[in-house]
Amino acid sequence: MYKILSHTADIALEVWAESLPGLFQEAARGFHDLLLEDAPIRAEQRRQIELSSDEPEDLLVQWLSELNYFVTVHAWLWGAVEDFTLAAENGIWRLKAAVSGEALDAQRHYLYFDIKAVTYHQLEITDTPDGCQTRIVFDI
Amino acid sequence: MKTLKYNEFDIEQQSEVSWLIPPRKGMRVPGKIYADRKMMETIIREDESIQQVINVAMLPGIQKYSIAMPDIHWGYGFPIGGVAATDLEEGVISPGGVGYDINCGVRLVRTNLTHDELRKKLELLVQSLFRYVPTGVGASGAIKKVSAQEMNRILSRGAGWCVERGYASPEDLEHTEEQGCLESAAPEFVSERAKERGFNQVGTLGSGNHFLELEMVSEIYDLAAAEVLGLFPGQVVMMIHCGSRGLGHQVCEDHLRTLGAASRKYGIELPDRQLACAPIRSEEGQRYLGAMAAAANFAWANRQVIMHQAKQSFLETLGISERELGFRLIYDVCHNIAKIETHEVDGTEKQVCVHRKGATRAFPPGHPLTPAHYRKIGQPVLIPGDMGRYSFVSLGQQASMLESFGSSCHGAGRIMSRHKAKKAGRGRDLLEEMRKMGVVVQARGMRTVAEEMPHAYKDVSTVVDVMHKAGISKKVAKLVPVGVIKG
Repeated sequence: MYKILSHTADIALEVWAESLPGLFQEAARGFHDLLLEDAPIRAEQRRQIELSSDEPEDLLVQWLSELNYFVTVHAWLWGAVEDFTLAAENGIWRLKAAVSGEALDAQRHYLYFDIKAVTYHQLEITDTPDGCQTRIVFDI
Repeated sequence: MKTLKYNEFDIEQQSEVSWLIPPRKGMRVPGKIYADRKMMETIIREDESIQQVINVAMLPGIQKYSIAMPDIHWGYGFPIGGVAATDLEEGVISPGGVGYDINCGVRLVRTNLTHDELRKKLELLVQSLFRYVPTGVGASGAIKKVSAQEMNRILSRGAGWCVERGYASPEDLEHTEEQGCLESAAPEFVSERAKERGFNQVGTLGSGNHFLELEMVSEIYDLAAAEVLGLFPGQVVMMIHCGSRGLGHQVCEDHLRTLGAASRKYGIELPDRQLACAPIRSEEGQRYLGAMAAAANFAWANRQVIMHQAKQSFLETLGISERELGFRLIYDVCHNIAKIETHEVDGTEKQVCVHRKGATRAFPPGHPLTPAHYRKIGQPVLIPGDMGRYSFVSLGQQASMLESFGSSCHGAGRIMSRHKAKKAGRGRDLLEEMRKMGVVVQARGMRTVAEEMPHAYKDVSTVVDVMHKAGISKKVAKLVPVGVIKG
């Protein structure tokens, strides 16, 4: 589950999930919604993502930044997230995923925001009785 | 004089327009905020930006004060409108004190035209500018995509690259802060990904609050100074507000990550993760400073190319000669930057690292870094407002060197979230409303227009007046928008 929050000069995403991998995938869904308001994306191409960090918060920023990179540099929109794995070994968190999507088509897609960056502002992943939750602020 | 409360902190009024937060709880220096009483009460009520002034006062090596301008509002790490100078030996450099949009800034260009002369062709000109200057999310392709080699040259030379390529005259550089180039730039510390984000974006405006505006000089407060600047009543001028685009955002993001680790490595305790920093003399600190300077140079090249594109648009649409147009850069200032400058601290002159995040350099008359042409009047300070009301031209004054590390305010600041602004605009013909206010607007998306409507912003005149009263920058001219292009 996620919720889009609008601040005076910025935009944030509140995300809940039953597990940490679920939280990352839900965050990607929320981010997609925020950028494109659920416009349908065709699965024309797949891109692989592999990331690592010594903490999950930093990895979450990297994960969303990677998706933003596809949009801002390659004008490529991701739709579905597939084969998602997230695990820690010897204190290092590793994320692997494949995302499918298509090139931005101005006739069908309208991007609402130019996301400058996914920020670390008060970023914390906390445990809840039902899983975990977090709040991510985007600089726009 | 009045004392207000913010949590357990006192905020003591020092003058009609300045307030002091005496140091407590880990603050190394006092906080100092420029605002009149009404503004101060709103700032306390509104957001957590005062806490951010307090947090910045805790940074190692900070000098004199953690300062905030009257346009202060909440930012990442530093507040927007924040100024902090740090000692070069014991102090730190923090990307949070610069912001994601490195060298976001403002450029003002004069013309010989009057609003009356332009009126008939205004609509055509705005449409033409919209074609010449790419706007909006992912805007690209103003000029041919630059090569990797050329990118390095842009990062090293800034607006100087534009002179080599015919996009600028040497006189343009004279009227640009730092002559449009920080020589300390180190392109080798700009990641490939950051460069990739920049290849296609030289000469593009982007989205959000960035704009290109045609404005009319509506009021002049200092005739002699206005004459030196080349301004006269009724004249059409052009203002550009934008920065280093995706390249700068990526530089900030990359180095926030390394500086976050560096803060832990050097045992710096931070009240907020977005204040990640490293000692200025450390390898990590030097790398960020070099990359930041390179991104700043990219931004100067970007604004210069936009100005060049706009000139082509004016000449083509109006069918007049360059001489008749009289297109000349008045000044270009950056308002998101960290720079090594000389300032007086405890009675002696020393070099410090001045972070300006949403604050404009405002050097006074006689300062060696004020361009020769403006040395008698002071450095121009350009302060954009919202797209319906007005913007201002001010000039740096002596108090800025004594009190605010040569800095003044930078703009209006939002008072309404984008969501609320959009909601308030629902069911209204916003373009028609703007037209009735005498402003022709062309934008890629109606959503941006709704989000950027005048009612979403503070009244910038109150901000400019505080700086004027504080003797930091004095008002010279008021400019009202007549044509706007946005993302």
